[in-house]
Amino acid sequence: MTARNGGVAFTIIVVLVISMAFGYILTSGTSSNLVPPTNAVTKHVGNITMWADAGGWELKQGPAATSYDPSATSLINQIFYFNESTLVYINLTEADGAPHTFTIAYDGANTSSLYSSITTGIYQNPTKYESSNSYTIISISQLTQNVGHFVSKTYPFEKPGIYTYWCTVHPTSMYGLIIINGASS
Amino acid sequence: MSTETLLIVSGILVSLVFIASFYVYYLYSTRAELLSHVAEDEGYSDRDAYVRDSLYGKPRPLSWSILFYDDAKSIGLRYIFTGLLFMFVAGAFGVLMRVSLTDPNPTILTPTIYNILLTQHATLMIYMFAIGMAMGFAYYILPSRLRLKRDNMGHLSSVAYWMWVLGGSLFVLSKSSMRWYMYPPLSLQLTPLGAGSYNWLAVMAMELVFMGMVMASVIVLKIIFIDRADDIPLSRMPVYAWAVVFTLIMLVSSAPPLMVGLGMLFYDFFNPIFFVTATSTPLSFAVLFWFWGHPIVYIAVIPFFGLMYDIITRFTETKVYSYFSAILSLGLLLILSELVWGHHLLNSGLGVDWVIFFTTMSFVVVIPSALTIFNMIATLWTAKKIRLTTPMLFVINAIFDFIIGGVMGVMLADDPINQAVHGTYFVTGHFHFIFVGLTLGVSMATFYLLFPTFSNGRVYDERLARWHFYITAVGSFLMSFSWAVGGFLGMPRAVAGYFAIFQPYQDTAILGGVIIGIGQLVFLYNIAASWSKQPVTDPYNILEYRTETNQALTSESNQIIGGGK
Amino acid sequence: MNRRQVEYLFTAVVLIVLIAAALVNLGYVLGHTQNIPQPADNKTVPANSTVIQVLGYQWAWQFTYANNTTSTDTLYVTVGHEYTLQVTSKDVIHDLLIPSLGVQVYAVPDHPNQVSFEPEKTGKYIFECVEYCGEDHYLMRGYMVVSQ
Repeated sequence: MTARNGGVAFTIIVVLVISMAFGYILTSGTSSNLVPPTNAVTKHVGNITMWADAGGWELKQGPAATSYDPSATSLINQIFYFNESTLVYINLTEADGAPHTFTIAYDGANTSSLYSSITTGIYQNPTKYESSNSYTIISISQLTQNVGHFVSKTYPFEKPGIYTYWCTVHPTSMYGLIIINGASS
Repeated sequence: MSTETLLIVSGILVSLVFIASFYVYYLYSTRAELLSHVAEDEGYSDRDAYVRDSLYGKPRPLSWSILFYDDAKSIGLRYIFTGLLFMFVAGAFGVLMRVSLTDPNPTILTPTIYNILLTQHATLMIYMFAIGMAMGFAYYILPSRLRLKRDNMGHLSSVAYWMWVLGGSLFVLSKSSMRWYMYPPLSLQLTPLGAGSYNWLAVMAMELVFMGMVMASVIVLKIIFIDRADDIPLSRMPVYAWAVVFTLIMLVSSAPPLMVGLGMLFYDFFNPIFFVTATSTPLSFAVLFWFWGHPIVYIAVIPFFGLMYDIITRFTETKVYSYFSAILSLGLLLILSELVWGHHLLNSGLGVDWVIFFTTMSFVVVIPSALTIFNMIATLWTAKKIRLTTPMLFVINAIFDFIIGGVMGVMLADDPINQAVHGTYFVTGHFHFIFVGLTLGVSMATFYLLFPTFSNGRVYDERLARWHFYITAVGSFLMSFSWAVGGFLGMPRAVAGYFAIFQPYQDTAILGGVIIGIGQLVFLYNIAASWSKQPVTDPYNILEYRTETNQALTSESNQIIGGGK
Repeated sequence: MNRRQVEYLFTAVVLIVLIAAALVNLGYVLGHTQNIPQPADNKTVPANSTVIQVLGYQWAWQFTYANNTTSTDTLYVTVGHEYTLQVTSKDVIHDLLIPSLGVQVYAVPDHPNQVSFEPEKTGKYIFECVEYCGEDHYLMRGYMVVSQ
């Protein structure tokens, strides 16, 4: 090819390279291994009802937004117990106007590491909580930053073991455990 | 896809790549063989010496042969078209980033992909587009303007070019999301696992880009200082040649700190000892980076100042208002811009003395920039007539945008304002005014001027070119200005989502960004369509050669702008 | 006026404007050294100023007040009182910006910085991290509540 159609050749190269670069960049990011199966069979139903506050997941309405009172945040970051194959309704209310997510990761079946896991926080083993090993059930855009906004989602917990739940925006203050007990019915 | 299929497919793909590269090598070796015979018949001992001599002084249109010849013009064409290619890729990334910000929460792209696009857009635009265009025009225009005596070291130029291209391509492949300034704790932390960011590859790619740039700079400096014709003394060199000299001296003198810093950073990926809190502080990398990172901003601007002087003198048919002042202010920019890099770290807690020195120097560095702009305005003012062709429109818009961006720069140098707007879109608006208005605009102006030579005598569609100009200028102003206003209210930059109160400014900027994108599509269509027509003019352009237009210049002005046989 | 005079004129105008601007800036910096981010040092904290420890981490801000209470992503201050933020980081470099007050200070790991400010009006203002710090950088933001 010569200068006769150099412009067309250049245009074709530009279009090709842009589409290759787009295809390459836009496919990055990994898919999670905790995506719930569409045909999940659950026998039980459970509930997690919490207020999302940057200081911690609260069981009751947190402090008012005008002053800071540490005594109001006593009931935070609870451990929840459910049976195997339970469909859990996760009901969250926005408490402080900050962005939050409800994200879970599977920690394994070993219950002996239960309390060390909760005290050390999720930064003890960050790779376990990378996007491929975790699943965000309620995202920032679903739980809007309007105080009092309520969101309810379900997630089928099929496998027994320990799950960590946390907020990816505030991972050092908002995290707790969900324990799925395989033995009891 | 099962593992076996994956293996088979990848095997076939790799074989195809090998076949393609062997075919290219076959083409190269047959051409080289042929040329060697011709050169021998002509009495040359060296094939490349023959190629350069036979191409010397003639217009060099675009063809595939630029990939095989190592003369300065071919290298220049390679740089120019690679730079344009990367401009389109990085620009598409930029438009995609804009579009993804239609909603205050990231809905179209995940934050990970947004951050990758952010890093790629900045790095490719600066290192591949701005540097590529600067190098390309220097390699392409200067040999004819300075009437080179000889053109050796072409092999080294070629190696430098390929290292630069390889570096840029590897940077895209690295999917790095550490931003173009690569501050260590973050660049060490972002891993392929979490953010899909192969930062060690990105750092290696940057080193390749740097080695390519420095090698090419030294060769161009050698071309200007040693190889130019004997009857062009330094005092009568074109302003553009001086601008390139200052740029390249700046590049060569400020690249080493970051090259060393990148080497240490690369080591840190495997054994963190340099930029960790135990032995030093992450800020030491920031200091090394900005020692290079501020001059690079001027490197992307000064050669285009030189081109603006050239284009203005061509279309006003007058001489530069003050040649001495033009050279002096560009030279002062070289010295002073090496002394202001600390203003990127005014708020990092390096102390009050640091703030005093670098804010004062930031005011001082504006003096030569302002003199340059006043010189250009005075040139336009004293001109008897101004031909408002498309390149001239681009240049006038560049002056306009540079004044706005420059005034914003002066505001940023003021410490109380800097504390309020550093790290917000105000800064983004400031440098996009200059980069889109001046770097992109003057690149396009020069490209239009050289188009008849590139395309062997075809002319671009004047109407489409004007549309390209108006769309780009309007879009650029809309985008940068809404950023400036939003940034002044505290809209942070480099974010995948934002407070909903900033929605109006983001929406206006999205509109502007999409408009700029459409403008560049018009440009692409223009060159593709115009190239398909029949040649109607001679392939001599007015930047390199004397044509009818240049005949009108007086002998005095010819001396001032130099060159031009 | 001839060419040379015009050239002198615009050079002089540029010099005067910029030197004036530089002097104004210099005057501000020398007169407000407490409001410039500088290495944290309890000895240089101004008298009558309340120290708030700020810790930036991916991706939130934690404020520790004088009585050892903490709050995350919300900063509680009272109007007309001088505060000194001592800012540091747990992981990577962050940058705290309170646009309405024009206060900005980097949070560098193991390199605590301090900056003083005095809120003058009550209300709820935004603050944000303006130094890119990873995937959810954009969420590292919150509100400053200035009460009576």
